[in-house]
Amino acid sequence: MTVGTQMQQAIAGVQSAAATMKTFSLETQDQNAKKDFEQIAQDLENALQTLQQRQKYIEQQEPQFKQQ
Amino acid sequence: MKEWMEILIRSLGLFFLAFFFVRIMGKKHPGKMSTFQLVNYIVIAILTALIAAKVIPSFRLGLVALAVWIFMPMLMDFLAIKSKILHGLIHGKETVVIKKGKIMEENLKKAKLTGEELIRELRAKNAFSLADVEFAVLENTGEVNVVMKNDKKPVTAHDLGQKVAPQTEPQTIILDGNILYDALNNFGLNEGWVKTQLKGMGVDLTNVFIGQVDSSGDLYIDLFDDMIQLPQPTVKEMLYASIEKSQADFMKYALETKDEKAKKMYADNARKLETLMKELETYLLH
Repeated sequence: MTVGTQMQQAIAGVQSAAATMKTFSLETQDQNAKKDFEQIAQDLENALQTLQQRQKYIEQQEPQFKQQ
Repeated sequence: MKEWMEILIRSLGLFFLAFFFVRIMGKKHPGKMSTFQLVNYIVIAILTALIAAKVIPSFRLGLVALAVWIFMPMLMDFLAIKSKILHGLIHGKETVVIKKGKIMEENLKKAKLTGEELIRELRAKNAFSLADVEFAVLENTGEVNVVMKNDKKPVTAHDLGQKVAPQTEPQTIILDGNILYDALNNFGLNEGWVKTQLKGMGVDLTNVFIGQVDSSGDLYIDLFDDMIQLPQPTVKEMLYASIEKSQADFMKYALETKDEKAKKMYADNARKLETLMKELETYLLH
């Protein structure tokens, strides 16, 4: 498994987690929990952006790993 | 006839007469009338008062004068609707006072508007700096309307290149704890729907002061009891989050599976959901 693929897997995982947090924050009635979930979702979105930038960089450096 | 009786009858008669004619003369707001229309209304008011108080002794002669002032403007309005030239003659034309950011001093003089007045009118339109004004026109009601320079206009969704979902006006369907059936029917909803929605929020109908439905079918309510915390309608956001999650899951499965066929299927569907998300974003998130 190449670094590129691992990166993609990580991205998909984070994306999924972020979406889960968003659903939780919308579902819960507890205002504190809502805020916490929103915060986590936001953090994950930020992480996602960093990872996506990193992935672009990897693809530039190692074009042979680029997934079809 | 006793004098007070006569004045009473005159006043009552004129009260209803004036009420009726002012109603049919048009729906213009007093502040938006042209100067002559204002004069006309004042003359009607004074004539009515004078006849009612018997300052004009002859009731009939008074009515003749009143009729002229009531029917002439109606006739002129009628002619103005029929003919464009007469409309210009009767209602006057608007005057351009600022063009391409430059004040037209001659037009200002013609309209008998001083610089101070112009600036005051511009301020009323939130144009505090003359440099921001591209175009301004003096309407025949004395109002100045302003077009700001392009870079000083408020930003719209169009400027940002963002699509927004079409929105119709929200309908008020609950007022003071009562369901308004007309509005409800306009939206193609019924009482059962309202009851289900309220039950879902855990609220009783009698506790609702105002309830409104927007075009996407979200119910927003305000309660008499402000201590109760209400869940905000989040149906659309929920839907979007679920789609987002499914899409991410498909991506993950596509990467994890060893089966080439399944990999392709997951990746295809993930891509489909991604395009769907892009299309729905304007409708679900804004």
